[in-house]
Amino acid sequence: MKNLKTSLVMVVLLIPLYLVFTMLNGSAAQADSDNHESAEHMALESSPDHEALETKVPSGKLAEVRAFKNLVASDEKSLSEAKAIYGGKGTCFNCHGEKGMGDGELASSFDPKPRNFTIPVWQKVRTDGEIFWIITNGTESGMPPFGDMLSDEEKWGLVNYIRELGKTGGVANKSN
Amino acid sequence: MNRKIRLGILFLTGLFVSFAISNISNAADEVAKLTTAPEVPPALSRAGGANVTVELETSEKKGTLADGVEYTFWTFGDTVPGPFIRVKAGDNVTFNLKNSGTSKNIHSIDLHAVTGQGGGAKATQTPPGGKTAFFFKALNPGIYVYHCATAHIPTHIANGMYGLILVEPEKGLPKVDREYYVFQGDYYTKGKTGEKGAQAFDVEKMRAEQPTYVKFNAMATPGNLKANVGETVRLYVGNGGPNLTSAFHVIGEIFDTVYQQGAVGSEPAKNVQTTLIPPGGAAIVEFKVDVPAAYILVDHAISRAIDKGAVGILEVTGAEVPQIFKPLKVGGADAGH
Ligand code: HEC
Ligand SMILES: [Cu+2]
Repeated sequence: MKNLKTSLVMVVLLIPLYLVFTMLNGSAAQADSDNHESAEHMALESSPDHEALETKVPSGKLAEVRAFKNLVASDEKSLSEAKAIYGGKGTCFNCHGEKGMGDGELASSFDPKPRNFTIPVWQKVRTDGEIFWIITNGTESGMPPFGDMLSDEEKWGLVNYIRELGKTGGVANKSN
Repeated sequence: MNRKIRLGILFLTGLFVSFAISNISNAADEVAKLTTAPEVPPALSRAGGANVTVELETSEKKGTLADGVEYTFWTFGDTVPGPFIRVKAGDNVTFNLKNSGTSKNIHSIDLHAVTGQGGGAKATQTPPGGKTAFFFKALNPGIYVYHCATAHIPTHIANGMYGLILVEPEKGLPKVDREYYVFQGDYYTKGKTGEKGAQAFDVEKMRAEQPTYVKFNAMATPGNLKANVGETVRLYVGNGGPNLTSAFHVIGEIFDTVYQQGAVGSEPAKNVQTTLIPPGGAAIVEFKVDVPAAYILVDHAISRAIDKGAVGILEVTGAEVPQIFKPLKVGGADAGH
């Protein structure tokens, strides 16, 4: 009986301690990400590209997803295969546009609009893992899930191709 | 001895009967016969519980939306509406969906006759050149809409991706002389109503629910529905929308029987002039054609019929029946003077 009381007291004492700890931890992480790109972040607050910063990956999954390792090397062969999927069975071009500007034939049907992959800050903040996860799972607001339609290898190829779309001199922007 | 022979005969008969039974259930394994509007597959003369396979392919295909107006339809089976599918309550259906290699978009199917995730939509998101499949048991009889359910869904529907599936009740529907398939859709083109040439889809007009065309069987073989005087006609009428609710009416006829909202199994309504068919809904209407005429099918929100194209014709031929209808001569236009 006495033992039980002691442990109860311990638990009650530990709860506020735990709360304080998590709060400190959270604000530290916050400060960290603010420092990370504060100048850009500030400028973006008011720009139309602001929403590009927000990840579409659920927060509970984010750490795990960011740690995904890209399994496909970005080389000429894999990029040309990815380009064919982007403009073919992947159907990405219909929405995201041939050059990835988010201006495909169907773009106007969507709200939010299909991502413009050429926004530099988007390319900068978005990790390969997040892009892979979105291609696999889609979003509630229009991005179709390709989990059953494309292999992991094909999806990683597309991640690399999306990176190329973001480079002005990249493979994707060379005329065919 | 005698007894042994009898036993032997009994045994052989048993064998024969069980063979025959197994044969019947084999014969019931079938590939569903699909038809293009306005045709309907023949009534099923078998019991429910068969193993039925449905094969359907999606495609994107140029067609004519109105005189001189070209439009790229998105289709099931290269036609709008998609093919008519006919199964029976209790059937075990394997649904195979293909997407043509020439499609630019992913397509899928949600059948309102299906009990299960997305009516099949989740299992059938099919990339160009791909194939998907799912199984379902047809639990409820009725006439059901099917449609594509790939993002952006309203765009896929507005481009013509819909059709009807009939789940016959166990005992079938009452016999009639003619059955036809009619399906309404509203269309949204960049150009104004009547503007010629290739017309692109206008998503803003769709959101505003301001169609430039409203059509029955938009891409099906042109030509009239036909019947003879004295016959009973059944129309399966679906509405894909995406936006408009149809006030379906046949000019010069009264529906003797209507399964409102396709509710087979409910007591049908009698003597109906106009029946409402919402987007994603269907009805079955039946009437005896008593006199010869060109009966005009319309959406009785009448500007849709007169100005936007929601018109069809049922041509009924045979001898006049003056006891029921005849024009009367009252002289010329100035007869009143
Ligand atoms: C039918 C239209 C459509 C198709 C096809 C499509 N997308 Fe998208 N995609 C969208 C829309 C809309 C969004 C924005 C969704 C949101 O913000 O919730 C999006 C978002 C994305 C994002 C998320 C970007 C971010 O903000 O983090 C990625 C990555 C992406 N798409 C990649 C692809 C790839 C690769 C393909 C082809 C395999 C593809 N998409 C095909 C409509 C489409
Ligand atoms: Cu579709």
